Amino acid sequence: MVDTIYADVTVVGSGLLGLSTAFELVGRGLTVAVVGPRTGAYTGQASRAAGAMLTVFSEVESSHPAERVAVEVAERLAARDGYQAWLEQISAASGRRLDLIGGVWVVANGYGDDAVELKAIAAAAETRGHHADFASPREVPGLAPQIRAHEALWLPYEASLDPGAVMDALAAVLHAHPRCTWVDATATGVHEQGEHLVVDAADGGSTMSAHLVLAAGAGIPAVLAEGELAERVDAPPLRSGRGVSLVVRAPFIVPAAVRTPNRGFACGSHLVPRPDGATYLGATNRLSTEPDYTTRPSLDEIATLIHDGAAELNVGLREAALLEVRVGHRPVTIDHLPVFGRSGHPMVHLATGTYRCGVLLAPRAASLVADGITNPGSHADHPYSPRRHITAPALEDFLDTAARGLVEMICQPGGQLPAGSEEKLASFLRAGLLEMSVGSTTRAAVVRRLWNGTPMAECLPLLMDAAGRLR
Amino acid sequence: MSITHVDGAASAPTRFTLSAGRGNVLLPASTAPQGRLVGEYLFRGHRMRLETSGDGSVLFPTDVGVSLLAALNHDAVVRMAGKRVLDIGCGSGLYTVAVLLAGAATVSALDVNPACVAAAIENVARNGLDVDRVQSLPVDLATVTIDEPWDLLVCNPPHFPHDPVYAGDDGVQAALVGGMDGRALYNVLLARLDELLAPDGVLVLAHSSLTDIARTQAALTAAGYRSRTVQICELDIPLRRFAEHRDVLLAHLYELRNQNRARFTGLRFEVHTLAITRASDQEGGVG
Repeated sequence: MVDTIYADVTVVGSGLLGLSTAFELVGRGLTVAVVGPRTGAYTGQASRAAGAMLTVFSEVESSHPAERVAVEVAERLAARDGYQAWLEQISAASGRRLDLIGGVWVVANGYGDDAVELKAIAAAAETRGHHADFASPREVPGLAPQIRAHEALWLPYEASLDPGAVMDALAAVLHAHPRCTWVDATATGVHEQGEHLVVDAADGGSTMSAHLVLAAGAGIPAVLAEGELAERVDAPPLRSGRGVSLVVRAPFIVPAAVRTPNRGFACGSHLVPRPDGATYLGATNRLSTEPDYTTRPSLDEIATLIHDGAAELNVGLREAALLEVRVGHRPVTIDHLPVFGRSGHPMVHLATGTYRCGVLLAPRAASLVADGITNPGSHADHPYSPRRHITAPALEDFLDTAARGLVEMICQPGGQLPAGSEEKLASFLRAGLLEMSVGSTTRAAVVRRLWNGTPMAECLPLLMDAAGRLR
Repeated sequence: MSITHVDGAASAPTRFTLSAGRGNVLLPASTAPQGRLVGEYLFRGHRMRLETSGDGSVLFPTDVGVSLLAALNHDAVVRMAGKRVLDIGCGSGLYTVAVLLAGAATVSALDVNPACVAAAIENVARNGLDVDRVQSLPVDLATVTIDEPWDLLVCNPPHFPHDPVYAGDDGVQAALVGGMDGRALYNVLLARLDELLAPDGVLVLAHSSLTDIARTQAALTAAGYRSRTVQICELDIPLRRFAEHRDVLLAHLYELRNQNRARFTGLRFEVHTLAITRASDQEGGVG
């Protein structure tokens, strides 16, 4: 029998959000139990599969409402402003060197409205007093795409790093810390016993603590399950964007990260240098309504990744040596904003929903969550509060952008439809989606059920897939 | 830690652990008509019965308070027969009834909450004891007039740090919340101990690990007292009606713990039963 571990806080999840929160909490004098794999393959863990660009501005999309851009950029800036100091803190505690590679290039080609996207990104940086320098694609080291790039944007305040190195350093610090106990097993459930929050782990061990931080990303719904505690916590619906990425030894050098803007329902392609000379190629993004962490990357995902990377970034990728294939589930909410802080239960806190920005936002999540524990009531009105009101958008409101996005997705970067047919196909899809959003056929009912379960843009490829399969 | 006895023999404190996630383990409360809470306890061979109204005016004894009786059950050094006893913060009368059953001559039942003093006297009568052996003292320990010091003081002080968010101002709050650092009553007790305690007298104190045991022990030593740790009981922090505000309560405790003024992990803490005598005396008339 394994002993019960008592702690002030149990952190469920051993990804970067969980570890950074645990690190912050022990730094504030609290005792922490971490429940989550410390060893093994980390299959499905978003942190390990991440490109890990500190994308303060380049995640901005022209279609995002100004209000959302203001909130998100402010939070990402706050995280970026403290990032170097945070890494130095981890370095000092672990004795390991952690380097940031400065700057990110954003590259526009003919795909979609890239030029508009670059302008939106540049504006987000410049209005906040940061440089965003337009340049010719010829000036971007490591860029040699199959399809012509039109324009490039250099964002010197963005950066990239190796998330595995940060996680390993944090793991070493926490593993050795006298106030931290690590249960090297997946959490299987949580419940209340008296005023304790009990976490059961797959190895038969359990923790009892005053506070609980749920940082297991897309795995949270399974841990929380249904019942009284889940009702009280009232976590916003969590979905995940499954992403496959590759680590390669490339026949070219990429001194700083190069990316395209976000695309339709995906996150574009990006090449990120690693300190050991390897190059990261990311990433696919496919919505999972019920993520299965054990599903291995499919050949289609890998093929898409290689196709898009060669088309948009560097044709030399086809000659690269494959070092690793990774798959991760990026946790995302319906409104695409993270959930940091106290839930509907005063002792249960969430650190998740970071989607594509988990590595950047990890220290920010850690400090907001820790504040909710050491200074209750702080940040109650924060836009990332789990208690915020989230409105589910109607499918009709999505039709215009959705139809165009679907066409772009079908074409793939570099793909071409006969002149004028893109618009025709888009309006055809718009009409079809509209019919299904109000119709009474079986197909319409299935599509609506799917949409109501996951009302977000990323659901549209699933709708198309489901509608196409039904006879 | 063991404290050297007056006769030179080392006596290690008894340790015991109450399981997590359960309250009122030592004195289980059952519900009686009109929402009254009832519990029974065997103290030094005497069966006693405690009742409270259950409306929040008087706190039903928690395991913290009852642990002191458990300590005295295991440790016969503290004598009660024929003694004059002061029950400081008498609450429902748990200690008043217990020491009378164990043969105390008289008990002064002191509580800042008059409802507690009344409840204590009711419980004395309920156990078939003579209420004339009880002096009612519905006053603050800080201002109580002392005509004659007592042979035995028993006290389980409030130990939670204050916060305005608790909002309530009832008997339960008075019984559990002891000023900004939880030590309000401890400090008064230490300041007035010379006046309160008769020569050869003993103070038996249920000292919470949330309220800086080391600080009390240092103050006692400096004032010429000796403290013997009779028992260490590990148990859950009794949150009761503070459960809804436990985030705030714990945040204060984290601060105190960071200053080395509180000890606990998660919701687990300790209650040390201390037997305190003047350094020049022999505890409880032993020897």
